[in-house]
Amino acid sequence: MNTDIVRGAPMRMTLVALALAACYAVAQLAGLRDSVSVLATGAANDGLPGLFYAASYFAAVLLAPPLLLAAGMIATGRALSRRLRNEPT
Amino acid sequence: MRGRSALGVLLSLALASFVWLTTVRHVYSPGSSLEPDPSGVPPRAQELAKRHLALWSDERLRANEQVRMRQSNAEWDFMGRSFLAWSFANLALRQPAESTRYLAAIDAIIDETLSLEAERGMHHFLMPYSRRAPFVMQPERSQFLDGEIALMLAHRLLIAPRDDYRAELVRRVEAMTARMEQSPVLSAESYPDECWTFCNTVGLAAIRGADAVTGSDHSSLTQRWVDVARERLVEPETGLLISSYTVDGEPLDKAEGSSIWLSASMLDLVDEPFAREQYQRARSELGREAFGFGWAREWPAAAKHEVDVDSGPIVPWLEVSAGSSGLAFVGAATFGDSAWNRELHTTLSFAGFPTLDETGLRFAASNQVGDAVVLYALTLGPAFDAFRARLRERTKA
Repeated sequence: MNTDIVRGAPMRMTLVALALAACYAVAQLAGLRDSVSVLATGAANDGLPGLFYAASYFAAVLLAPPLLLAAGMIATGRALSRRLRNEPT
Repeated sequence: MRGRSALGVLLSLALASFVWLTTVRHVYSPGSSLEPDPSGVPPRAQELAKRHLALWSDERLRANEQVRMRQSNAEWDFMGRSFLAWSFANLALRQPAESTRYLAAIDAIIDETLSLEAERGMHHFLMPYSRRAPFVMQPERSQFLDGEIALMLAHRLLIAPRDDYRAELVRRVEAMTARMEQSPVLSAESYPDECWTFCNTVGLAAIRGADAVTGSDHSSLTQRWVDVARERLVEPETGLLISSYTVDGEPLDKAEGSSIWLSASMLDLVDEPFAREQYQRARSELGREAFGFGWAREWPAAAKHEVDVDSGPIVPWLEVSAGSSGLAFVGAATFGDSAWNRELHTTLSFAGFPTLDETGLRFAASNQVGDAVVLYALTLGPAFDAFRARLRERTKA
């Protein structure tokens, strides 16, 4: 794994989490919630919008929070580590 | 050093995921929406009932729902009516002050259903393959329609008498019992040479319900059905009732969640120990829970099957079946499995996309029949108790 990527992980995780939340917000604001009936009916006209809404919702509630939590943990761990080594923040 | 940092990122992600998974159920917990009011009706049921009462008073809304369902499966249009009529009867028994409103809705459902059946024939509510071959028993009838309509009528007559409905109930029960007696496994067809455990157990409950409200006695037939089922309709691997079989009793579909949960619930009115045994076996083979969420598989783990219209969509790996999980509410409610019932509701809140507005509650990922099944599970109890009480009184007399 590239060192810069690892170092920048908390920021990247936060950005990904925010992007997922933004996708869900867009789907919600676009009124796509009713289209998820595609999950029950398989109605073709609801297909893509419904699947997009469902995917963005599950990503926002299942992936975004752990990404933010992990970003917080890593950032906190690094700050503590620096403090223990008396490095400037 | 680089490796240690990467490992730290991965460990943080794993720990964060675990923390979130163990926490997220609290976000979706049904909480007080499942706490019953003094009449025994929880707020979630009140809101669902409100929505369905609105559907049956607004033809345009109802037509939209029915068209959407019929595009996928004409059976859902019919079953949505049945579960709703049964739910409203239970609500009327729980809330006598509201019974007039519920009774009017039940009558509207029954009248329109009977009228459609009379005008367009039974195939209107069946899938197209009902016409692929002649029914073995002639003239053709479907136990699917007879059983559910008879059970609607029996529920309706618990609330108030009505002569034309009583006559229709007696006629349906006579038709069902005459056909069931022709089969070595005491079962009638729903589709050509296909007897479904789902439909025949609904039929059995309807027959017992009719016995309770009309004074007839078919206890011999219903008990013989259970005896035959134990011997010929139970699969050896799991002890569960198979889902479908020919008129002669040759197995077709093995045990399925979309069948067994409701079948066990219906059998509760016929033979409580057998019903409970079936529920417990189904719970063990098909019921699942993790991190406070509950769901049901369509097939036991050892069985391999293709997704079909009964199973509904299936989530890979977890094997969450929409059809089985929906009907699992009915099983869990019937047999007092309150912990799992709550977990099922947590999953419904999480993945059912509940939508609450001025018309009431609906689940956007579901449809009218799915919502009606949940409503039935939230309200069931008083009708079967009333049937049992009347049957006991008769036995004493």
